[in-house]
Amino acid sequence: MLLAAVLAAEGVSFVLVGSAALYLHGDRVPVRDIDAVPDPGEANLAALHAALGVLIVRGTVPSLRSLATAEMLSARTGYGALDCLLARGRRDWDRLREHAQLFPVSGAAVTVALAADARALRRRFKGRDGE
Amino acid sequence: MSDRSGVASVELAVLEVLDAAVSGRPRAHARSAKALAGIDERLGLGPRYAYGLLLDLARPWVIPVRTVTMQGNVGDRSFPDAAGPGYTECRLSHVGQLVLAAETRRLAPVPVGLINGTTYRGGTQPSLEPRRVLAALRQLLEDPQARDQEVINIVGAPYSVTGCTMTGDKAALARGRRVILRETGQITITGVLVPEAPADPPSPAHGIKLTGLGGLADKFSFPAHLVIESLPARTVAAEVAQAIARRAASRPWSDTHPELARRTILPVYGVDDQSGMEVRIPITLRPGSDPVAVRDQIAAIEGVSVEASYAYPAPLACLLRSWVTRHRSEDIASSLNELEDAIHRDRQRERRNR
Repeated sequence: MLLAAVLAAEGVSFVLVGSAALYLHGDRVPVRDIDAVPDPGEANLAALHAALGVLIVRGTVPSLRSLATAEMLSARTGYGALDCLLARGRRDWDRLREHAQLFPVSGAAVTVALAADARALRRRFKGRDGE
Repeated sequence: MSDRSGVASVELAVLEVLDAAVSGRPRAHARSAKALAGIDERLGLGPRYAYGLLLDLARPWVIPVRTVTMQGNVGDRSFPDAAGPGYTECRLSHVGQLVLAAETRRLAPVPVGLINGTTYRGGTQPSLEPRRVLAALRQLLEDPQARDQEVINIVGAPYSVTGCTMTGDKAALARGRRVILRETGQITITGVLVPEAPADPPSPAHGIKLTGLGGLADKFSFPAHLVIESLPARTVAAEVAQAIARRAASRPWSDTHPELARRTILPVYGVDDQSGMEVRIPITLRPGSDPVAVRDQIAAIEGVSVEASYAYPAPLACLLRSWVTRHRSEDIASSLNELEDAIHRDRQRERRNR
């Protein structure tokens, strides 16, 4: 969960979905990674690129062009695994953001999707059990 | 998967190619490039793929019981890239020779696959401690009615080949359930006293000795308060040192998010990756910091600890019991003795070559 807080503090605009979002909504689900739908705007992707440069411990940082065109990005950061649902952001950002709520996580404000959205995306990308 | 050794088919084929490459002279080494050409010819597995496989079968931090032994630079925990196959040599280890002997029925079956599991190649079956597996199988050979719990007590929990701690629901795993286990590197508190914090401490942005490749300290000559002494197999020590170095530097948001900064920014003054074939990363803490708290923070860094899904193909006691039942008609008491001896001799040789 610290990873979501750090991303928010680094100035990346995203909506948290998946198991971490469900956990913040009160579901007792195991959180093994952070699933984030980033704002697809150019400035935000630049902020995401810069943050990944600081956070990624294994592998290279994807180019800005990759962030703008790829469907999904999986990265290993020092705070755990990060899955960025980039295509979902390009398709659905405004709706997700509109219904999202702010949750404080270690002193940072993290934008969290509605439980229904978080659950739907978790099922869509990781199967029913989130594995 | 072969039933007589438990070794995967592709690995078995690699061992057969290595055996052929030295024309039956078990102490001779073959140039890895020549062995890879043979593997490509026999399996259609190209040198780039096959070299990684060959290296994994020989690396003591990857697989508990090595079937291949190599000479030359096969990489290490800090810089895992091996020298090119033109610069390394390989041959069967003593265990590898036993595997081929078992496969060609010159020897009763050997439980190499049971010991090594499949996690070293990305599967979910965990490794087991070799001597404990042999002891459990001997117990079942002597007493086929031995209770499951007794067998499980002998064979023990999943084994971290690098000496890390495995935590999670090991009992459920032994019962045959799929579980998530966490493997955490060993971080020792040296006992060297951390100086008290000055009345006016400098910002973490100043005075950090974290320069050079991987963010390592130049001319590291500070007392170490913590030492990382093991890491999970796929973790590169230099990357962990770099991750710690990055976490020691303050961020632009440190002042605006003090709680997050307190939880994420490490009070580390210096970090030095001294790893070779073994992991060793001494860490010097900032004055006033608590070694226990920092140790726990470092243990939570991705790579220092890793989570993975594990499962045996059947309850563990059944797995061992069925191995003995299937091969009881052969002299497995002897093959277990020979395997124990081969493991011992391979480890001695590795220690000599370090």
